[in-house]
Amino acid sequence: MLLRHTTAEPKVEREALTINPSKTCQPIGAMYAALGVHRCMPHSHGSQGCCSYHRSALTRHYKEPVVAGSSSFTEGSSVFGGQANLLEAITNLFSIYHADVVAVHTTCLSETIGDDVPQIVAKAIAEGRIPAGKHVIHASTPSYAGSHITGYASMVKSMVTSFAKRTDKRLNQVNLIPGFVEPSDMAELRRIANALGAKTVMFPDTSGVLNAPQTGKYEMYPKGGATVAEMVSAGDSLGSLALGPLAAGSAARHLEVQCKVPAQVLELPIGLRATDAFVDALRNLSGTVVPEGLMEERGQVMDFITDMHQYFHGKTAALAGDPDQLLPLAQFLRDIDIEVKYAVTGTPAPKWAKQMAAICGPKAKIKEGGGADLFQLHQWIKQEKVDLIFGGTYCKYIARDEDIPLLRYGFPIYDRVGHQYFPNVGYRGALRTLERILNALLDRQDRDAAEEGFELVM
Amino acid sequence: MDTAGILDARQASVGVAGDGPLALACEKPSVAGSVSQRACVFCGSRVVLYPVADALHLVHGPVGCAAYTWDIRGSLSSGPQLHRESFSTDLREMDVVFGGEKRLAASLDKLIPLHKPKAAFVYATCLVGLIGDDLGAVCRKASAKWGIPVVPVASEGFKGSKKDGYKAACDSLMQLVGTRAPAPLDPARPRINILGEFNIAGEAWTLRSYYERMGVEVGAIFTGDGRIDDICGAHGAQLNVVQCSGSMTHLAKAMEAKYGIPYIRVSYFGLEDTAEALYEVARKFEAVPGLLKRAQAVVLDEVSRVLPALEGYRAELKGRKAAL
Repeated sequence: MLLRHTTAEPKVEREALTINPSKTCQPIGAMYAALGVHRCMPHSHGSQGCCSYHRSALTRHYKEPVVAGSSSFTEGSSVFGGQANLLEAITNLFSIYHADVVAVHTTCLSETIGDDVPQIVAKAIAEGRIPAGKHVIHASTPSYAGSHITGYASMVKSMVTSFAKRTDKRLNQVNLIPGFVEPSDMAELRRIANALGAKTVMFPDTSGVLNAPQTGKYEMYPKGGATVAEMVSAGDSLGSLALGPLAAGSAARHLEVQCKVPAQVLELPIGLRATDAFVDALRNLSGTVVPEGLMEERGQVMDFITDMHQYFHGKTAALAGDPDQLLPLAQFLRDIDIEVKYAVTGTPAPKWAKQMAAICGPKAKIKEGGGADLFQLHQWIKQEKVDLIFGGTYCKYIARDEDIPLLRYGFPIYDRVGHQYFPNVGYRGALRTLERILNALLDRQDRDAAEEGFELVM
Repeated sequence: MDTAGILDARQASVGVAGDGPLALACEKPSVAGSVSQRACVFCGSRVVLYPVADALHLVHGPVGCAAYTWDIRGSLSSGPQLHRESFSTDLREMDVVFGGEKRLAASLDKLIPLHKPKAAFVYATCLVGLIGDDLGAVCRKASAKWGIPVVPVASEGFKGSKKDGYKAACDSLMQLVGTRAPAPLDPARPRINILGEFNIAGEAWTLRSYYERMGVEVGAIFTGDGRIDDICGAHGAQLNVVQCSGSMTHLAKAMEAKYGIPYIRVSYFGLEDTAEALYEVARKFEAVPGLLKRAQAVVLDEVSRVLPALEGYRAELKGRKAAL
């Protein structure tokens, strides 16, 4: 047993300790968001380990080369400040790598020594280090606050504050601001919008960047990503839909204040209800009607649930991951009568915990922030088992030790592929999730059935 | 295709075979703004110490440092698996302001009774270096309280490159070496330590089997499939055999200075290097009868297995070019 040291008891009160985290630090979220901008080079203002770690984590998750620059702090820069490093970095990133946008995020190192990134960028502009038509945007992402979700939210907010402009002309388009989801999810959001006939601007958009096709040629900047022109135009849109309050809410609210673009903050369209809400909001904003095709997709989800409900009913699940994903997922599981017994997210999210408790019922154990980690989840599972675990790759230790099927969900997924190609959002995503759940449950039933109880048809 | 030029400061670090002698510049810090594969001091220490499977590895810093280094190297253990878990003090904003020592002490007080490790390594990160926590003091107190070695690792990320992290890890290992009486020596079986082997895919087991078949006892492996007791008694070996010299020569030199243990540097890359490594060890123990003969027997045995298997690759790879 790999986690043989984890026991059901004792209760380990842990404000000051995380064992097997269900979160990571802010900068990687900022780096991921920046990759959703066309021809953008993310840049880590700190020591070079951070940047290498974020790049390798994203590369493992997407099986794509992730490129980013680092300010490569030394002991000297940590004492005297990182201004010289960032100025040199800006020059190099534009002259060597020909980026259109450089997206700088900070680290705990540069935050703690108090580097003033806006001032350094202003100096870079004054010194002519930023070529005409090119841009440097920045987000403050101290690793000791929030989580990777907070970092993602800060960089997306920075896209708004750096680019969105209000002109006299209102454009017949809707801003879609996805939370921390996969490129496949972002592509699916656009497909749904297109099916509705709604014109949209989506940022960030990592589709076509982190799930780009093999062409035999290396492209440092693949075709995908939101363009600067699109983000500028977001200030003239009819409205914004932020999908996921923690990861996308802040950007939409800033856009409302900055450019008077009305913001609606929705759940990520995971499962039936949340997708209905998204489709409805998009339909209303863009003044379009829901086409037959989408209704068919929805009908198929309904049909699947009706046909297979007997296998879902009364099953139990444990969830680990990001709050914006877990909330609509929990709702979806409840809607198909799977009981959510446990949910943890390391991301601080007190409001989420209350909402989760309302969805999952009084018996469910829900924990967020400090001490909400996979060790806690494992202890709960040891006390009372569940039928399914939803979470990233690191849940596989628990799944193996306790012999429970794991549905890989969220970030990071290092040991499987598919998440970059097949969405979890929308009706198609709901159908995929249903299929995965059913397969996991029925494979288990087949494996565990006594010979006389082994069924062919099921 | 997008192409990137070579930074002026990096011209001397890139070479193409055939363009004259390859005098590559190395040990230079990265240029800010370059896309670099290089890592930090913490990363260096973490990879060197992480394979010690019965130790607690507590990362004192924000959660990321622990999250990104959580079991990613896959160092194999034949026994305990404690090294595969991720422990972080998960420093928060208030700790940055008021210091993280209390949080560290509290974490050790939870983890040591919970997991009963043979020892604990406490890694410093960038943030800890900046806020100035006294790791040494907290570790000494925890060590006295729980009766196991609690060893600080001076791996503040910004202090240099990954290489400096190797050195910090070696310094931490040196704090353990010599703290336990080694097993008595068998005069017929010379004893070595293997340094710089991390058992990523079971290589430490392969090497151990070669040496044991030669009649050489392997005391400690630094640090693949590593155990605290072996490390603490490693000063009982007669020779240190260093493979990854970049990471472990510092430890070999320190053990030579303190305990008079000589060291040799070897390579196990390829048939010739591996054979030469075994012969070199045999030659160091000339007084032991039959050792060289047994080494030759091991090499003969292995080469006759491997050589035929290589033929297919050789045919495919002949004439191919590589970039390193």
